[in-house]
Amino acid sequence: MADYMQIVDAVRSIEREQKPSIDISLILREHRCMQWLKKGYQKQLSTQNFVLNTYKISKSFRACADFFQDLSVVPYAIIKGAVLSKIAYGDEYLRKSGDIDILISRSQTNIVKEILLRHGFVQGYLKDNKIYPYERKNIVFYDVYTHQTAPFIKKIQDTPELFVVLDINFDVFWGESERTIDMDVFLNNIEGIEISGVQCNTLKPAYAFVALCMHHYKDMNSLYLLAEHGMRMDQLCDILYFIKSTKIDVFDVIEIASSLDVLEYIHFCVFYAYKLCAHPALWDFLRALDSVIKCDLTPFFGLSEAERQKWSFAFEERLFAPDFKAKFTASLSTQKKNKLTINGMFV
Amino acid sequence: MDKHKILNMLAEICNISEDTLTHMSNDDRLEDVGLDSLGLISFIVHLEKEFNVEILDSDLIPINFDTKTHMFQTLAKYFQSREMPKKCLILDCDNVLWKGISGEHEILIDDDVVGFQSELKRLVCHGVLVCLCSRNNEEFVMESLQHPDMLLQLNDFAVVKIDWRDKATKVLEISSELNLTTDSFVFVDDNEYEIGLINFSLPNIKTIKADYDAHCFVNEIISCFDMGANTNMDRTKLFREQKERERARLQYIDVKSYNDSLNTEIVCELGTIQNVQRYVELSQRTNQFNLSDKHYTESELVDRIQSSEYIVLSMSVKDKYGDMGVVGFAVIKDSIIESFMISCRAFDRDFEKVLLKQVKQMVPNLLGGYFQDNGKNGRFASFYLENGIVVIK
Repeated sequence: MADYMQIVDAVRSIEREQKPSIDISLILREHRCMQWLKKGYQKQLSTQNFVLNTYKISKSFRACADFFQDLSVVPYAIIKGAVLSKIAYGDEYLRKSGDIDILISRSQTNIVKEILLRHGFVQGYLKDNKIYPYERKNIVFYDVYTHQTAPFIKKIQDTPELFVVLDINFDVFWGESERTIDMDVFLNNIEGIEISGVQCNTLKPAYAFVALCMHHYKDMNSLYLLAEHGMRMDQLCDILYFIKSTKIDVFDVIEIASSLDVLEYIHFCVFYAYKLCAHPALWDFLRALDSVIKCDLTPFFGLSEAERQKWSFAFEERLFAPDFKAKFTASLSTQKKNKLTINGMFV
Repeated sequence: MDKHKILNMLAEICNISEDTLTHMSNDDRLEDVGLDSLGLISFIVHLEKEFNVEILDSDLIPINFDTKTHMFQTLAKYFQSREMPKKCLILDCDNVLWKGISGEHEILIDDDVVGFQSELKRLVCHGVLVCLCSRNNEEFVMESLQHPDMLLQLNDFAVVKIDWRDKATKVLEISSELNLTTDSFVFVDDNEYEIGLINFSLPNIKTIKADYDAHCFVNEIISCFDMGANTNMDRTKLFREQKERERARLQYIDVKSYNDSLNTEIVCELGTIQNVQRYVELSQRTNQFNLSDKHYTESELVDRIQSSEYIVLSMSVKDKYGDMGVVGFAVIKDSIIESFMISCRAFDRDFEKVLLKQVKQMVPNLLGGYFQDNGKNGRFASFYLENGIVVIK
């Protein structure tokens, strides 16, 4: 555990633009924390990786320019990925992003699917640089049990082996939740943004922050994702930099989150971002949230009342223990392990 | 909707008796009788296959299948009787496309009209052929079409008939120019007399009265068209390209010379998943040259493309006027042509012979082809015989 605290101290040093006591460049790379890598280890950054990331993101967005234009018949917003990178880090190519996440209202899924198919997208997955369409059961699974449709993919023309993947999200709540949110609350608050010269829509900052926290809460509490990928620091870095860069008003966030009854999830994300970074920008945010939440979810994991259970691993262990994923999976009940198996069949 | 069959399927999946399902309350949770997540997915996939339906993404939410009541409410719309899909919308102009009468006074394009035109624009984007049919001076109507608040432009309309002749005659001309039967038309007018004339002369056409005071006519129009149809085609543009071909054809003495002048490229290839939406659309919309009257669903075609028991052969065409895309396909199993269809846009250019030749090359020991009379494919009833293929009924 002492080793893990050294890592946390090193992160905080880098954030304060001080030299860290240990070299955590490999860990930052594993956790995809490009901003801290850039801050602490600029000389070690691989130019090639950045160039490749820039190439991939710009090609993906440009390949979707016509699609975004046609998509404007429905309210939509691009979230996470290059949009988050631009807003939080001032550089749309900094964060490594694979897919483009689009938020729409569930009632519009049919027309959006139609537009996607018209633009040559297929609901499928990539394997050995070839697109394999999903079977109907996979598509049904995504629609019924997750917050998004099965991903859409297409090869980008005039590139050797580049594909663009679109994730169509129709809820900010996750499939396990019995709750859904009226997406119009978000989609009535969109603004334009330019990524790689392509005009598209995103959410206004306070709404984008709420959506971001909902997404990161899901990733930090999903049994399947924790077993597959463990926990990563980049999500907590996103929370810190979003608040720092946009200077969103905590009371605007509280108002939106209260109206949607999701304050606890926002609190969870800010709590753990502060636990890692101990940054003053997060402290005031956290204090304000502490004063309004009805229940504290931070000691727990799981995405529903039925799944919720107390953590038996310390925060730092969740982030840095090399065998965390295996130990986490082993700690689950048989019923929860079955759920991982079912997810693995369809995703 | 065969509720008994659906309950039987569900009972099998839940591993309970159909009686148990039948006698449980309609509002009891199906989860309580063993319908888990795997079971629900299996049930939906099986049901879609069994009844040749595809449940829309927007309907695939857990609450729609959590009780018998919700399940049957959700499924009801997928079992409504299969009507002829509508392909063409014919609109009056005055007091329909705008408020007021062209040439009489200044027309008004207010929020109601803009809302209606937005929906029309969406229909055009979804491949519906929107036409104008007006009794007025062409010059006055054209001037109104130039109104700065008009969302729709002249090139959004596939055919425009503006003169003082009766509308029934003009609608028949539209039918001929589009090469579509009138049962695929929807006619919209604000005038009871015109609606009555069409109902009397062309009873196959669905008529709707436009009335901005009632508002519901817009939804009634939209509901006539299959907005779930998947296509990457701008039909109005395709129609215009076809008109160019026909105009050019008039310059030639014989069809062969004309066809030779078009620099036509035909590509026949095995069917691909990427094009499956186009095959489904072709299959659902084609009646005249649909020899076995097969209308495939997406899952049926995907199965056939992926199966080693079937050959799906598709044909795409382009010429100097444009890319017509996939204009026909054939499905063969056990050396018998299960289906063979050609889009009406591609008639009279012998493309069907090219496709059949490819079929024969791929299946040298071809046994025959299915033919099913659907009341509209009589013109091509002798196609197989004329080309040496045994007809199987």
